[in-house]
Amino acid sequence: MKTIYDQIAENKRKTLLISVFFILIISLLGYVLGAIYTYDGGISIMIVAMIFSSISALITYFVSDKAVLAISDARKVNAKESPLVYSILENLCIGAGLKEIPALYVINDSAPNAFATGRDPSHSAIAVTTGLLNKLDKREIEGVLAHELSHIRNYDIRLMTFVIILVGTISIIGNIMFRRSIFRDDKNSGGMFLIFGLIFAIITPILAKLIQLAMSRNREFLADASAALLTRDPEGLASALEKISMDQNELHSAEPTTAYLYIEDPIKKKKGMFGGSSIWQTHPPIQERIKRLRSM
Amino acid sequence: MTTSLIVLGAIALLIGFIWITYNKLITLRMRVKEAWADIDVQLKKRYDLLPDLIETARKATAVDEDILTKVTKLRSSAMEDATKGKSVEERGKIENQISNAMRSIKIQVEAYPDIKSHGELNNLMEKVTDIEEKIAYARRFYNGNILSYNTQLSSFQLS
Repeated sequence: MKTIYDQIAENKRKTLLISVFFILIISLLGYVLGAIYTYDGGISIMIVAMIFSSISALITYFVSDKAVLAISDARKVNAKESPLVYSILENLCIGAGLKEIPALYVINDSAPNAFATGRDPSHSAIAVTTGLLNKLDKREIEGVLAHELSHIRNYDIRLMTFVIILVGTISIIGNIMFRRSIFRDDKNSGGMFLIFGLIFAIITPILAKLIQLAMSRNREFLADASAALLTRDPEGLASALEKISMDQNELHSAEPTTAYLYIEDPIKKKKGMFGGSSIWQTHPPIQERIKRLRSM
Repeated sequence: MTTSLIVLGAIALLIGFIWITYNKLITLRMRVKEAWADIDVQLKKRYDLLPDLIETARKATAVDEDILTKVTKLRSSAMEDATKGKSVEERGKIENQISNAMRSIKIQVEAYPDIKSHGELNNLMEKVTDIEEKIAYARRFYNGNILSYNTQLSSFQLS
């Protein structure tokens, strides 16, 4: 049986492993580019792709909290309007040693869910749905808020933004290579090389996306473990997850791009997936998360 | 020539390592102090809350007089210790006793027949619950920091 500390350490190791793997893939991509398009300067493609990707990601990074909150139709609340939730959040921040309390938002929706956004603890916000507040008891709300706060504390939003930049870069490069392979009659590269480049151009973006999803699932487990450590009450979060997973309501304002921010995948109901083990999911299967929490 | 260079390099590395670890220990110790200060903030809020609570509970005869006198005494000792700058362990002992007394008070107030109608007492008990929770969370943060500090200290001593 793994202790909380073991789980947290293992998670951090996995994140590092995934990052290293990512860097290897990019290097491999760069090498292949260099090999195929030597006289074109494969490096310049990579730089352009990275700049493009970075600009869009950086804009997202700085504006995301406001944008996501606006899309979700979230209403900011203060301590007077929601004293119970605010005091729970305040106490959690005391436990985490965070001097600045994230802004609190409420979304009018019967589906129980919550998300955290913001690039660092001083520019962060947590949003909860009215469905969550009505259907969960104090202990469970505490668990959910602790999970979201842990995302902020672990700088997960920043990490995932970075990962998404990389995935975007790889996808753009893969796209460019794919088009070039089809439409160019390159005297520089032999037939085999061309085919190889083509396959690579298709597979790498898919691989990158899978890595992104693996990382996202990893950070979810980490947030669960951190939350349990913060509240010293894993059962609170476990029973909250149970209630959330059994709820049939759909979250109306959810978008696939921001799905990873939520405590539980808001899209899965739309696709009819049942939380089974799939490498395409942003969140780990709920049953697995509950099992890990209850074994702490 | 090269051997002496290697030896110098090794010594430099060792010094660097000791310097970094030493600094890390200082940082962790500072964090422990700050975490205790955070607990202190909550404890002070409790000191402020207690007189009102004791008086209201006494008037409503909702709680046994001996507990109320005990809490009053503990409170003054605790505040005295705070100004004297007593150690964390000593202050911790008294504060734990206060927390235990708060628990007994809470049980008695909840058993009190007319509690729902006594708005003021109700209000104060809610504040008490909140403050106890805040103290608990502050303690958790403190313990986490102590753990980091002690872990670093023991591994440093071993090496």
